[in-house]
Amino acid sequence: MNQPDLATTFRVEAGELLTDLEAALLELEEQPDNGELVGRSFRALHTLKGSGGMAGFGEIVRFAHGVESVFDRVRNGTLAVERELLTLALAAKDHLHALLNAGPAGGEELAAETNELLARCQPYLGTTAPAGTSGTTAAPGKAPPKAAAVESFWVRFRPEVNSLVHGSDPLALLEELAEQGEVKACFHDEGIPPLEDLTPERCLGWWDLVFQTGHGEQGIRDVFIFVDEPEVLQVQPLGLGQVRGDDLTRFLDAVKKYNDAEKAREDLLKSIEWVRQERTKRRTESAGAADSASLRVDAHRLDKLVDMVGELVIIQSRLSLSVRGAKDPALSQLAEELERLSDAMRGNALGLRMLPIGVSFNAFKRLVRDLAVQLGKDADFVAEGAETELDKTVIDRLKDPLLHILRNAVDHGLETADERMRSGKSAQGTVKLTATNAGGDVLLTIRDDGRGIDLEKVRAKALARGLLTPEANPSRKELFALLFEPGFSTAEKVSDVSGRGVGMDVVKRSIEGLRGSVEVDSQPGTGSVFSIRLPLTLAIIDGLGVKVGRESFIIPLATVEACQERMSNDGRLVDNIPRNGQLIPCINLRRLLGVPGEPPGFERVLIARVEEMEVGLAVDRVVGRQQAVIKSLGGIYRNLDWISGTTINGDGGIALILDVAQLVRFAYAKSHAVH
Amino acid sequence: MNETVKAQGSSSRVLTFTLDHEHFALDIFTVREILDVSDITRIPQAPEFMLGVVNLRGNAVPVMDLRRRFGMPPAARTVNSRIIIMEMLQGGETTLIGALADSVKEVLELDSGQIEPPPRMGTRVPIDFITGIGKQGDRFILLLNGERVFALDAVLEAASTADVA
Repeated sequence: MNQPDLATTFRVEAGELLTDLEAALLELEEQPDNGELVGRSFRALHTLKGSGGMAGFGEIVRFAHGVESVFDRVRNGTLAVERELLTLALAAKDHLHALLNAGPAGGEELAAETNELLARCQPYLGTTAPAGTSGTTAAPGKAPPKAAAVESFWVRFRPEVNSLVHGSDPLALLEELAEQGEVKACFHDEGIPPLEDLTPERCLGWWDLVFQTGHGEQGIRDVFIFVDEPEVLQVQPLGLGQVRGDDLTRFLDAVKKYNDAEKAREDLLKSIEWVRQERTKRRTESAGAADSASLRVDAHRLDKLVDMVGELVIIQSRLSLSVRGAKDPALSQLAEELERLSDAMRGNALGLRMLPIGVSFNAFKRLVRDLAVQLGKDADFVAEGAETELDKTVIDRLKDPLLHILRNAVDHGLETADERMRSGKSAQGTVKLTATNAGGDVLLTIRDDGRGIDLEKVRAKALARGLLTPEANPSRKELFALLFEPGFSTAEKVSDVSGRGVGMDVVKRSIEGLRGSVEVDSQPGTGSVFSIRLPLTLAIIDGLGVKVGRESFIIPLATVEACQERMSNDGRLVDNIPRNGQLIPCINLRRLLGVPGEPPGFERVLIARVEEMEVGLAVDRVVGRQQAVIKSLGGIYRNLDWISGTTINGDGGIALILDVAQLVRFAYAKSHAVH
Repeated sequence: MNETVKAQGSSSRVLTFTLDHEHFALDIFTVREILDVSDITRIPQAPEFMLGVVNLRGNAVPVMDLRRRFGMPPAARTVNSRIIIMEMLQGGETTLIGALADSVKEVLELDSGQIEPPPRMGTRVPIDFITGIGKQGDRFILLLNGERVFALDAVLEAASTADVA
């Protein structure tokens, strides 16, 4: 078994931390006073910093420290959560992501941006020198020296009584030290007499300092170079790398009560140990917080497992078929048990690939927020049904179409706050995404309460684009459907965000590629709603098995409305049959697909619905309902678009899964070619 | 077995098989496995030299009738007939395709000394499909250019002009 290296493990964990951070930040926008969310954000940054240090991601450590300091102030109540701060924090999260992808050594190209973002953090920090950047000639584009490891120290500085007379100014030394890092100081004035007895030239006070520096012990000793004697200066490394402000205070408290340096050290070491334990506790907490009951599995392995289970099911069903013929009761019993087990296995295996759709919701929320800010609109994103499950592939392939629809909703659908108020709406627009299960499908709706779609404009645009003839009188539904035609766009100008007219048709195609459907409805002034219907899984199709001659085909159950019978016709490719008092076209599959052999006396006709039309498909017989595991046919046959895939029958034979819409088109083309 | 003999130049490892009593060879590197002939499911609207698809552990793999592909008369299956499953890299993807052979012979190592360039004319098989002629003893073996024989585009082109009556 391969042991993933530290960097890879860190990458995966950091990815999760960043997702959590973004979620917390987005929630903070709605609940600025929620201390728990602030804590979550801070902890994410802190853990990133710590683990990043261990995994060798120096730039992440440097950057995270700066951002973390900002959040430390928010935690302490010194800073309030505001939109600008959150925008900066979200930008920081994006940058951390970039740093993460750049790898442990790659952070240097991004250094300029790191510095820029850190500079933007400055106003929130109220200090002049954040740790780690001292010594940089901050010329933009010039990479700063590699951030040295930050360490913490306790320094006890007891200047000699006559040091002022000797020209050594303790204050100057301390100020110099403060330039190297974050300092927490305690001044001991026990030795200083009351004012009447005070001789200012005598230095009677002394300091306990706890601070963090990137310059190491040598940096400290350099500052005190002229007074570096044991009675004057004691330096104790704390050995914890970077610590939080809280912890520095804790250390200071541990030492300042003791005059005796030895005792102070003892207590200090105890404190260090305590902090160390707290740290590990905090780290394991946040790592395990997400989901102690779940396991990270390589997707590739999972796919292989699902494939193998699929094969197992096929072999099992062939076994069952043979056993049925053998009429051996003991064997039948075993076969039945095996069938039960493999059905359960298959259900389970397919379920492994299912994820709750909520995993994408973060990205959507972020998009709506960023877009709203960019366009100067006030928009709220509401999501329902995050726990609705879909196949992982479907979720991945849905992301782009959904993002596009959301982009549309915010850009074109929602009006500006002023416009909304003028029409009596609330200033804030809402974009609502709902996911529910409906039968064997998943239903997604995206609803906005914006200005709606102007059907007149749609008609005008369609006329201009030649998608509609002047005499045509399309229904509302047909007009809405035009929105999904290639090259159609009703935006007045092409904005950076949307309106290039390449969006909606791609959305439709992507969704249809997932065997789904999309439609839109709208009320002018009230808003619009996009409805997407998807099958639960791409891997299996609910179909009707049919036979023509000795060949097997599967017709998707979703398209079949009814089944009739008729006498075999004279072999014509397409003719008309009665259905519900009307005549509908009927396709002779035997003729269309060139199946060898003679037709039986009677044929079965499946009535299929294709778009708005009903079409009959004549086959020899209907075998029955079949849950078909879809296997693609392969490159060589890819021009045969009326075949959507193949599946293995119970008897080991191969059945072709038909795409009814394409089949009808094929039949028409062929019949017109003949005439 | 003769360890002292060192191959001059490069040598090719090939799988030899027969079609209509002639010997052919394919680069062993591309051969994945050899199957007995089982049910081949016909795919309608395909060129004549495509027989259909065969079930390979749950996957539908297309099978080509090499006799038809090379313009030879078709023949009935015999107990020796085999399907050679090839693994080809096409369009950046690895695809599987099967080839029906009258019989499969052996794996041979031919060194460059035993291989001659294909003659300008007179071969039963279109010259594009051959990379050379190997000689083993007194037998001639036609070395096939797998990429051309199983070329996706050629198959698709043939499919579009296939008789759709």
